[in-house]
Amino acid sequence: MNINRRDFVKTSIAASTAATIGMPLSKEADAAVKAGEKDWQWDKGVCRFCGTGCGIMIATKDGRVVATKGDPDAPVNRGLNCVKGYFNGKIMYGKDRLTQPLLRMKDGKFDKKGQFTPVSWEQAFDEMERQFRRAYAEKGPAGVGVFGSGQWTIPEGYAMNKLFKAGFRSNNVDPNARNCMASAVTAFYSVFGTDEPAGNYDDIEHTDTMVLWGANMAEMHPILWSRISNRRLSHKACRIVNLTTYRNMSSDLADLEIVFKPNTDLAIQNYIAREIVTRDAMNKDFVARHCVFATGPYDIGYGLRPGEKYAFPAERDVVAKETRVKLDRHEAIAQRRAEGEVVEQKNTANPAAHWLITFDDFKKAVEPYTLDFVAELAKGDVDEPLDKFKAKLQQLADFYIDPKRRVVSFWTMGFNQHQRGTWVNEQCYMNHLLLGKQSQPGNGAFSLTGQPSACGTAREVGTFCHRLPADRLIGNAQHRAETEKYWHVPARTINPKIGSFYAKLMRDLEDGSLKWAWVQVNNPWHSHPNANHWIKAARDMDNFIVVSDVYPTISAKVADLILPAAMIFEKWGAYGNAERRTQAWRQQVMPPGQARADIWQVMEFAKRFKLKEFWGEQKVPGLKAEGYEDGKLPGVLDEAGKYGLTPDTTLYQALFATAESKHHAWPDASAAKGHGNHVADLLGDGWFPEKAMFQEYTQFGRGKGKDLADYDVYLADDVRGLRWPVVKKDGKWTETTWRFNEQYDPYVTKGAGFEFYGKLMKSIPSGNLDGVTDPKPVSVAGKAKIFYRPYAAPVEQPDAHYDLWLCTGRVLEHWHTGTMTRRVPELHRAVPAAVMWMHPADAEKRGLKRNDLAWIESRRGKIQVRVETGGRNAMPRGMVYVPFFDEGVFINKVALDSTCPISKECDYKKSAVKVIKV
Amino acid sequence: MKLKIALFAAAACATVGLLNADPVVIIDDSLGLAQVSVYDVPVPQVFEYPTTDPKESGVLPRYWEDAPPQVPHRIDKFLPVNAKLNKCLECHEEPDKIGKKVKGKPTPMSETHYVKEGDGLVVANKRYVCTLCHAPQANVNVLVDNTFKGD
Repeated sequence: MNINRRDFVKTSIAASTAATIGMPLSKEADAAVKAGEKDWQWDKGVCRFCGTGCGIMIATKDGRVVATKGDPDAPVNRGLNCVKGYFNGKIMYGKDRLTQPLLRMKDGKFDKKGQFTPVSWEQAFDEMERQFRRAYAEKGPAGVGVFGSGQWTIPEGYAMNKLFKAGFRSNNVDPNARNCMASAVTAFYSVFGTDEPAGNYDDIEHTDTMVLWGANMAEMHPILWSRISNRRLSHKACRIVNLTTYRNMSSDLADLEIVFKPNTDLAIQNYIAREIVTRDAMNKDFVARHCVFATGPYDIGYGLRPGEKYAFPAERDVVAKETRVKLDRHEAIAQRRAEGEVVEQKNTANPAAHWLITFDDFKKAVEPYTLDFVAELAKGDVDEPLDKFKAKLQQLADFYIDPKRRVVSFWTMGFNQHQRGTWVNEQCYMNHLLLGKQSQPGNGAFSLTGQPSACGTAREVGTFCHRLPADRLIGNAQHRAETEKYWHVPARTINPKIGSFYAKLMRDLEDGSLKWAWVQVNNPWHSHPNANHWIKAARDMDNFIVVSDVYPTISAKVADLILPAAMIFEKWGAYGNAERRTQAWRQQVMPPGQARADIWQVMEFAKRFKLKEFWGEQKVPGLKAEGYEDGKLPGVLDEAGKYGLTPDTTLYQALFATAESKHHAWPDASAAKGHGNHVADLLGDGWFPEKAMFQEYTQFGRGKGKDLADYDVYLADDVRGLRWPVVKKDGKWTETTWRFNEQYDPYVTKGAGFEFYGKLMKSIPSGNLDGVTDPKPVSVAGKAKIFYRPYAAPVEQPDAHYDLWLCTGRVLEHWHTGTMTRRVPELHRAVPAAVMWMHPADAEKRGLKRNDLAWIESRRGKIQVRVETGGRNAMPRGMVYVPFFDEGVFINKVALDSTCPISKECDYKKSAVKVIKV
Repeated sequence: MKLKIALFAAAACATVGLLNADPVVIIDDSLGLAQVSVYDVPVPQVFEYPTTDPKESGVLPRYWEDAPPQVPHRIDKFLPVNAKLNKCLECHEEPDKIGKKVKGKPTPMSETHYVKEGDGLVVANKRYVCTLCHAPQANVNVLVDNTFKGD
């Protein structure tokens, strides 16, 4: 789409007449081409930041990006960007871009204790290869791993996944998305049997009620917030509820603000369920036709590394709870047990197990969650009168239950980064399903995401240690076989043993079981909690860490080799956003210096290895799977011939530059439209890697409810992304707006009305609230599960010594670890440093006032931070908030690394700390 | 800071093939935005937003012509923006002065911020929360220079 501004504006006028309220006044004004812009080339792109997936327009001139703007034709944002989004062009031009591989060296060779020395790509790959072989020889497939990303493009994630899972036969690929929405995934699997939301952003314009559960959308999803504020101000009946642990910007527009105590969202959800049941408000027909009831074990631990060996002395008391928990009064009531009872955590190895229960069991389970019980437990602001809080909870239940109201529940990190993240996600579906308010325009539980392709790459491509593309699982023999078929590799190439999840990759480095790690498009040593452990593991253990990045991050600082990467508009790519919308873009400019796209790095590295090095028999300690000898991955080289491969075929030839790939030629006549491709040029063998990988990947989802269109379709001038499943209807690629609803979703059986057709976890045993009574699996095909999940107290809570809650998260003006946004002067000046929001009375008690310097300390570490008692957040007494974007205020040294035991996602929202004046 | 300059020099040399002549070493602690060891605890500096009254503030340069302007004056006194009250609009909502900025007077919002209602113009509700796009600027130095040029 190489058009000048005038042509572009013409097309946008035609296309945007369909836009609803809020359409800009005059496109004519916009059409007046400014003299200086005549030679700008405009093309469409996608915002680099959050999971909203705003469309942008990018202008280039003389090989540089000169402007970006919100794309008026993009249905997500309709021409608007947030304060960060406007600076997409500028994030690429920080003066300290990495332009050269840097290797730690001493006396002319690699030395872990050496300092960074510029080397050529050849030298960089030589050392990377040498270290890889050393690790693989010593530890096999488990000794190497990848910290991947929800910011990988789809082809990048697909390529790395394939290199590791088919080439190296290692499942140690896990994305930072693990710490972002893994709890959403596990709940999608357990409730619906398939990942990702039923609804889409149009729900905002269709609904009357929006309930935010631990999602400060005004800061974290600003463009969705603009749509929400539009709805709130344009639709009289519209109401917004903000459930949060402290007052934030989303409260400013909310009609009802509920400040609750950490983890008590579990209890509030059950209170709503109890109200639905006792008020006889359940949608009995919907539930009878489309749902079943289920529950699972409660004694599942907190996802901490058990045992004291690796714990700092101060951590030991909390870590001990991983094996044994003494129930407090509220947990005891909520779980129908005795206060003070000590519960052995017997189900830490199988926390996701669940079974069918009856509606009567469910009713009995929610019975303890009365208004009195929940209000007393959940009230988060000690200064709020109990009666007022009770009235708010009732109002919340009224909103959900009112048959005339459509309701959308939104959430992100408050639910997902939660020691019971899977449970609380499931509970949200519980209430929507009980009411039959699901999978309809304006009615539904909607899980948002935080990264631009957490959905598109991490989840859909399945770049997790237990996943394969399109809802397939490593642990499922049939899924592995299907994947091997699409990848044209022999049966049993894929290792059936699940790899290490993100937190475990860190723990593996710490205990020496992981010897070689490659980080792409993320910053684990900054973003993973309890960072002091992982810094030591990186710097003091015998391992080799490669970090591909565009700027020198904290992760780069602890690495052994830094590889300079290309940024978003310096390469071809595609992202998938939170409403299942896949969007693609072209390379706009060349990367600086010797920076290269991540996909080139993956493919170039693959050239250095041959099949015979990995496809012979491999020892895999702990491997246990049907049809496999324990601890052994069979050799598959004998079969390789069938696929036209020999033992000496390189991984590059076998996995990437295949005959099929070469059908997608570079230069590309249809999609490229004059745009370059530095990856194709450097590989130099006449194919188009990003397109070939995308096309190969589309095979996985077609016919499975995860259908994507062809890559070129997404690049077409009149397409602004498409929401999958995208199926051909009358020869035209057609997107799906609401899943599981016959009216919108072609996958629903005709006449069914609704059908929750996801295939995973749809055969389960039966039991009661105490456990399984009949292990014989029962099919629940086509149905969604309504889970009962109890309240559980956070594993670490404020006490006499660490007397404050710490919550961490983002701010509007910076994204993630701030490596891009802090290099934009306007954004840096907007929020120059992370501060600690604190209640003025808590500050005063410690002799602190605004801007004073304080130590914030936990069992895990301490840092210094400035105090803020005003501004956008108002903390209740007893809680502080510190954003994590600032590497100078390294709050992840302080935060706890407990996870949801089912999803393995860390809980960044609940640590106990003390604050002392410096 | 010197070491960082060394990095750029090295990169520049390498690109033209001079790398082998003089290898430059970059100390890890000098990298990044907090130029300290990853083991150290830096002391964050105090920063303040402008306390300038809107009447006395000028206009800040834009990143490119159509980019949303940064706020040149204090906003702490005007927040929060809620459904009942938006103090920003009290000065900047001037549909009859679109595009007619007068020195010393508030900058009228651009036409993109209005929709037609009847014969008149009203503020587009999706643009109601001003701080989603417009931020005040604290008086601090940049961490790293940025070489972006808006043509």
